Amino acid sequence: MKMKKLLTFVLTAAMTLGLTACGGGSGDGSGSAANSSDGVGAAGSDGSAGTVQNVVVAIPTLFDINDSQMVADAINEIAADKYGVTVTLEFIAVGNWAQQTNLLLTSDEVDVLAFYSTPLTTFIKNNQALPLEDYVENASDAFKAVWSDAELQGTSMNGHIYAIPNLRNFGNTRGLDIDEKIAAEFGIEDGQHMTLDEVSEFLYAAHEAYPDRYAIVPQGGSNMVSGWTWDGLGDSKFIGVLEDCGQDLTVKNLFETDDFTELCTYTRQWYADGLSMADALSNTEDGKKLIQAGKAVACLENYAVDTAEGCIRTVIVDAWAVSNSYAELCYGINTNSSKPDAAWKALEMFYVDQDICELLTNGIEGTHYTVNEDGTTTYTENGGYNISAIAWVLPYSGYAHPIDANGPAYFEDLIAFNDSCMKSKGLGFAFDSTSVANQYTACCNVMDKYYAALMCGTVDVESTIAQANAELEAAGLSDIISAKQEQLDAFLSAR
Amino acid sequence: MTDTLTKMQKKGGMKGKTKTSLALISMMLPGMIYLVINNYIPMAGLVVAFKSFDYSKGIWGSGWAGLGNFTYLFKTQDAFNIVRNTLLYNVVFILLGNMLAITVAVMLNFLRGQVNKKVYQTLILIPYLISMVVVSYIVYGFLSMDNGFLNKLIETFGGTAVSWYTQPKYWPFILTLVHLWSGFGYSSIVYYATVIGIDSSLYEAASIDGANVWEQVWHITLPGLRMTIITLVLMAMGRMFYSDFGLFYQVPMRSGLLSGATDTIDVFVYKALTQLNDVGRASAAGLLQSVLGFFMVLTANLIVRKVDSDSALF
Repeated sequence: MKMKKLLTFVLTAAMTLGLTACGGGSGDGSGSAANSSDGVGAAGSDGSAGTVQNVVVAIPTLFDINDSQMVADAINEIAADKYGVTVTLEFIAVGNWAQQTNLLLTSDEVDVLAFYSTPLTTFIKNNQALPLEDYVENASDAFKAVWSDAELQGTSMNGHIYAIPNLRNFGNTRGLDIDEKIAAEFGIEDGQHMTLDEVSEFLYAAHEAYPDRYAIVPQGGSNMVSGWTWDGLGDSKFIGVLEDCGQDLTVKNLFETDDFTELCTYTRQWYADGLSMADALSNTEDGKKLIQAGKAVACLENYAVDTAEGCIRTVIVDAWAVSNSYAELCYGINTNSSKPDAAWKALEMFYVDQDICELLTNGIEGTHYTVNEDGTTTYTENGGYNISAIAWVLPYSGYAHPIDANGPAYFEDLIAFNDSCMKSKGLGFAFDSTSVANQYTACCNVMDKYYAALMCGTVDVESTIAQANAELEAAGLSDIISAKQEQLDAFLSAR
Repeated sequence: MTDTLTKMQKKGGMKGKTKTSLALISMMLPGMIYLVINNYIPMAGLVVAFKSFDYSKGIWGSGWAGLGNFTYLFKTQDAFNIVRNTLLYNVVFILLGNMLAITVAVMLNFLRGQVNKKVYQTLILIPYLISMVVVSYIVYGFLSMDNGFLNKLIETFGGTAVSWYTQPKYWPFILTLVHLWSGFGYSSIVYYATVIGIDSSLYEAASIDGANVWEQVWHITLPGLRMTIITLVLMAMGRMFYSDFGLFYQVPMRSGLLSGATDTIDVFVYKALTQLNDVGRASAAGLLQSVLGFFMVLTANLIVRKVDSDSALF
């Protein structure tokens, strides 16, 4: 009997302890992280006046960044004295980005973050983004020199600046990526302009010469190509678009535009003749990887000044920027942040401080990279900090050394490309779907049903478009188009 | 729990009563705390379904939206479609799933030898443990146009390959098959646990009386399983308006063309709200699903009680 009692007690104790320990575990982890960075801040602030506040910065990434703490420490050594802030860098994988930032935004766990993957309008509508116009007005001249007022319009809504654009390509050229050996064989050169007719002619010839390869594959997954000549006005489902690279200001149904029908007619023909992947709709692979692996000849692609290994890039649609190009990835401040002033200081220094910019982009010289004679960088074998391979996720890398694969003039070229490429006339406009939310939800489902299938050529163009239009009409497309047109007209007349 | 307590109290008399129940209650406490924290406190969050949620103001500070968050579920032409899909798939899954599971459980019971039993139990459980993402690629291995096993088979026998992923008409069958394959192991083990609990002397008596195997199953095993069947079916009915998201979202490889046959309420809500990121509407859908499910259970239980009051859950 005694034994039994003892056993009961021990088991109960074990369970209770187990439960409390479980609850405490996760809390401890984040607590210690915050403490350690606070420690760095305090050490740095000794000489300077005022308190040093720590700012949490969330940055999307495609791969693990192991040495982010080391780089943050190096940044903090400069930032604590110079700007009175320290930063904690949180790199979050894009796959988890939407969910994780959504959770972070419910409290003040993050101060500065990228508005990415979810449209900026949604962040604004949910009141997750802090208006920044007062900060921008009082910012240093160096900061004001980075973005023009017109560019800041791209991340504004209703007269408030909600975010700061980051440095990446705002426009895109659409063209055909071709295996460089096969392109040479057919006498096609990098940067050459091609019409869809010429593309088609080449694909049929390539199919003949390389019957064991797909002549054309989707750009990635079941996505034939990201965008084309239509501007969704901040709506990635393209429910109501501007034609002609955003130069025509009438909002139209995408399925009734000539460019869409033309492209789909070509892809349909390629599909029916066995040039493209039979399984295109369930494909999960990247087009360029398939070309590099010798399984495909070409894929449609959107690009700016970057190159693709093993491929040449031709031009079908000249570079142009969609209306929400500045808002697709931009940096702002969480409305729930308890220290917005410090958050702004951190955000501003990322755009103006050349040393911090270099550290954030390339990591620590000698440890993570070495600088070559031509001014490019080469990774060391360390591999702990290689975010520069996808510098487009960072706030601003314009002052940093580019990596060797991109060439020495990469950032200059990028800035020049952004300046020169054609902009949609709706630039800075972003559609707010609140007033037609029910219709929008219904139309999204219709677009999900038909858009990718039509673009990949897996279904008959004429009959499917007729069917899709009937469904869109029933789902309330006309309400969305008139709401979009109304908002666009109001936006244009206000500007 | 109360039953056990009263029995313990009767045994221990006045003196033992407090001590025994104290020990029991303290053992129950961690579980109760967990239940309250994990299952009851978050229920307050259901209020989000009636709010137009504003991140800067939090749950309680946000303005009320009335029933505005619910309208999108009814105003679309897909509303009928998704409700029909969810209900019909669930009816088929409950019927076929339980029949298959019971059959397998009875067959397991006829197996002789410990090694045999262990091997078969493990083998039938494996599909249940495979993630739906992996399952979707196994299915893809069968149905792909270029290299799919089925299409190669069809072509070998002189047919033309079928584009499975663009034609909705096949999918009710494919999804049912996949669901049964992945789920039958788990539910048959639940039934098997009851089957082995049936007194073996009943079978011995029956065979002395000259009952064959079928008669034994019909008159002993199935009546013995009745309570388990009723409990499991009632629980499944409570989830009548939910669906296995992995099955309906992953297995069709997100092919939009199939959505007429594969979209259930969960999938529809996910697809509709990933762009809008609207917490209020997502909660509205969840609330509606559980309230409807709750009424399904009440109704089903009411019917069971009318027919046979001993078998009803409550």
